[in-house]
Amino acid sequence: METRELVHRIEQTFKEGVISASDEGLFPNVLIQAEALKPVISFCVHDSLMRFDFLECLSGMDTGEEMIVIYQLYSTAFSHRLNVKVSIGRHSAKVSSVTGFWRAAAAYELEAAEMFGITFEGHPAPRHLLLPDDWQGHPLRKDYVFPEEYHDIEHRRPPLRKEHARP
Amino acid sequence: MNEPQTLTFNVGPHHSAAIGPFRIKVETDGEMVLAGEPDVGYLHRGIEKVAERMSWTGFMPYTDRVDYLSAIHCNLAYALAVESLAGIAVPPRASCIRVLAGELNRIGSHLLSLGHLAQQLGAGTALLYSLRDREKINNLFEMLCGARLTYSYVRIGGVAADVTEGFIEKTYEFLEYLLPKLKEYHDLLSNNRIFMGRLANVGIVTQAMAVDCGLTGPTLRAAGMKFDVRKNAAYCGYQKFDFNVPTGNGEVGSVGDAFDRYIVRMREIDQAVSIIKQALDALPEGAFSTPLPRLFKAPKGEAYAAVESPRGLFGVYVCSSGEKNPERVRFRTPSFPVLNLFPDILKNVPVSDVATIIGSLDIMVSEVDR
Repeated sequence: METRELVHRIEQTFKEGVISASDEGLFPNVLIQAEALKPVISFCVHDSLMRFDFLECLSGMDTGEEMIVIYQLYSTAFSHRLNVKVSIGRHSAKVSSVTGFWRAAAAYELEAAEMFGITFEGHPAPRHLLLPDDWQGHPLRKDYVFPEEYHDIEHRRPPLRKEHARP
Repeated sequence: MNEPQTLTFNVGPHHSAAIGPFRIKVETDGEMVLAGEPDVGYLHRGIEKVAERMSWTGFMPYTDRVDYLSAIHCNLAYALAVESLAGIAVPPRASCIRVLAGELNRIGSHLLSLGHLAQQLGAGTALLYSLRDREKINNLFEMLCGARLTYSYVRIGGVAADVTEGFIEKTYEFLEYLLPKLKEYHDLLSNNRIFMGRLANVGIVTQAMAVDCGLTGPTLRAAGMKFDVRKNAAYCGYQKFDFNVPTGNGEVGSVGDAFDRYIVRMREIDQAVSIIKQALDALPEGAFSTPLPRLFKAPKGEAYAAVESPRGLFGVYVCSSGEKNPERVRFRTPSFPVLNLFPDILKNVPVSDVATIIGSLDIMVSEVDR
């Protein structure tokens, strides 16, 4: 199916859950509400016209106002792709885990969890993946404060370079 | 008298099966491994965070470090994503040089991978051979852009510089040199009964497992699926090149075993040689780059681009708020999803196969951790 048709199919099936959809541009996607995630993903995986069996990428993103999790889906049967975005609050960032649909999600969710402080409810084995177990804060959040010390290792960042005045 | 007990020990973090520090906690009962749990993060540099503080063009050298064995592909994926976001047209000569450099890089990476795999099995000769040949590729790259490993050669809008004088002739010479050497590798490894025996039926990754875990590249192709970004979503004019996508078919064992992964890589080298020849023969004239404004700002929006790196699908997602630095840069790296395989792939295998399995999966730790 064309991306346009895929986006419309999701829009028509989940009228309530869809916040916005863009079917053209460089990154066509469907933005959905956190509650609608599981039904939408289940539909994407099991629907006979979609069959998204491959999770290409799962990324977190902090826009400063909200947290977004981006699911990039691909179907090996039909060679079509769809990007699903889910919008979640910044303060109690919570979203259902999709590890039940693809095992690929397990490692991506661990990474997004520690980098953005998002809780993936139902993840089989939550733990730290890339960061040390005692790391404070979530580095990829926009309000992350760089630590000045870690286990007696001092680290002060130089102030950001002033913008060069260009002629 | 003796209670049955298991022994847990570490493979790594410094272990030559994986390129980079990568620890696997292995639980064994005698000679059998019961479970293997990977621990990564030793090489985490926060490259995605660094991107938020860099200019669009200034971030390019960092992309080299995402996967320093295929730096061209990392450069390329980032450049393609930013170019599509900013609507920059790339001159045909630049695209062709990108293909050329990318395939050279692929040969280099595959050579190192097969050398490391053979070394895990005690065949140290093959590593020396492969390093010897890879050295010639490094020399070519030094000639092309001055760097031997972290090239930053692909830039937004094209490449950093045109091919240097004599590079094309030297590359032809290298291909002439490499073809008989490939036969040497086949004699030394592919047709070696001990090598076959060590790889056959070891570390089988079926197609269903590979797709479920998000694996791409030689691992997925060895499992029998003809998935290659260069064919499925061609970039840089790959549709104009004539090449095959080799897949595994269980020649000496079952489909998707370590031998299939090895042989798929060997055949990809053949294909890369053919692509390089075609690129050299048909290198278009013209500009090698589209000039960018001094203070380049990508317009507001988001874009994603994927390339086929030696290890699989390498994607870059970029999001811009119209400022001079990116809002978000995300790397989708092919080695990262390999972590999902772990509870299964190291279950009930002999200890001696652990290194074979890790080596045949070609895990590049710098791109797992970023």
